[in-house]
Amino acid sequence: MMVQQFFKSFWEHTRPRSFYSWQSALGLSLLAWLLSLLTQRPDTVGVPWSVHSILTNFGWVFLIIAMGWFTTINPPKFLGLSLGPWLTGILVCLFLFIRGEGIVWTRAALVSWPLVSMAIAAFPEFFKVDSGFEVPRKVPIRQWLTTLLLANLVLTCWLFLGFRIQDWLAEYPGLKGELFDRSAFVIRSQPSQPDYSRGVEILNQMVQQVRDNTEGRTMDEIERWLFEMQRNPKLLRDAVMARLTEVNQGRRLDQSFWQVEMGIGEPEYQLTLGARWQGPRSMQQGYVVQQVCQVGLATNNRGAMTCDQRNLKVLR
Amino acid sequence: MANLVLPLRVVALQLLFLLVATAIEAYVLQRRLGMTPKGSAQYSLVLNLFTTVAGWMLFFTIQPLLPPSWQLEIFSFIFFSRFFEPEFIDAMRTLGIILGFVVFMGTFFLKSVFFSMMLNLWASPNPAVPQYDTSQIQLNRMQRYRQSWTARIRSSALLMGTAASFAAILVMILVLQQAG
Repeated sequence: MMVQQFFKSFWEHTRPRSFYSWQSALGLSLLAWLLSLLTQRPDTVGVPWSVHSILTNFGWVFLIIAMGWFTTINPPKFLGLSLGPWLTGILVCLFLFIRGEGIVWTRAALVSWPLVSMAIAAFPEFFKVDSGFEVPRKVPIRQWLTTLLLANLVLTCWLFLGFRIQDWLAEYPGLKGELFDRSAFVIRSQPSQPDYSRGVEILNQMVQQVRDNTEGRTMDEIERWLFEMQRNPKLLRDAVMARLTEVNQGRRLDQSFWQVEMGIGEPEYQLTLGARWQGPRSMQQGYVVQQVCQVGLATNNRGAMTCDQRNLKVLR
Repeated sequence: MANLVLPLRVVALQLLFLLVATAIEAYVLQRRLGMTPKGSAQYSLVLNLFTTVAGWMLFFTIQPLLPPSWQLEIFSFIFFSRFFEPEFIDAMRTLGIILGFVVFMGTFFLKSVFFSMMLNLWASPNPAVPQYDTSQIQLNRMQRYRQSWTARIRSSALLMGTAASFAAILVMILVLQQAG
């Protein structure tokens, strides 16, 4: 009974009262989309206009018109300002920059959203019914337009900053493993869960390097290699970083800020392999991603290595 | 759910600073220039928004062009509120003061330029200005404006307003540092 009531009031609200209303625009949008479902998406990408694309575009355009109309009649207000243009702006940006399957230009969509919304909000001031396009003359309107423009530019700057920060984190992936609790600028959406993927990646290359030098070797060779690595840690680091560059298709990223550590302990030989972040960090000694591996002799008297894959430790 | 790193803290701080700076400067403009409360609030808001946008745009253009060691210091400051190389910490002591002064003067300059631009842009259309014979004018209009006392009062009001808002922001930063 409740569901029936809900649907009844919903239908009352959304059915077109007259031909010239936002409800009919919404209806047209829905119709266009339903029809587009019946047509086929073209297989070849080179076809510029197909019935399917025309229908989906019409669907979007009518949806935008419906939203703009609706928010003009029932404006959602915030501190005395109608938020309608920003909602319509979201739809316009989605329409222009994000197509169906796959996200093509999320960045362009988000960054242009404030300015697009501003254009929608300012549009009524520039076009009067009788005189066409003219620049407004009255002072209060000019003040309002300037404030609108600048406020939306500030929004654009903030969005741009967000994307710039993502770029920095992509360039220096080691930063993602840090905690940002003392930052005055940023905050993580899940604060206590840093991303150690870069450290793990380096650790894996390290494990591979050690494996290459221990598996199938005699104990003599293994001990000589371990001794050499202890004496000259730079050798291990260079080897691991060379592997890493190869795996990353020649990109070095933040390699120069990572240190590799190998601790040799009992029982013979338990290796504690670690990758330590030495780039911009919150504590003086950077966080280290560690894994313990055991190198021993197999039945054929040759080296064999097992690593505790599940027990990855991170120390700060 | 992706674990994103978002600049929400700086957005919140900037909103706070904008609010305080606008309020203080509006009060100063109102007192010194005799503007209406609404007018001074409008002008102050627009001025502060303009300098904020200009500041960000400057940062976005300059940051990629800086040498890598400076960029690392910027990352260290933004993400961890500290500096990376110890030599930079010492350099920062003198650099910080110079930077503060440069930012203050830059902000004041931008505000002066924008203020006069706004006064022209938002002026009500003037009745026809009587045309003088050019031989009777000794100074051009710009020179006369600069010598006029209205310009001086405007500049000093802007200077006081900028200084007051900077002082307030500095106080807020210090308080937040102690609290956080």
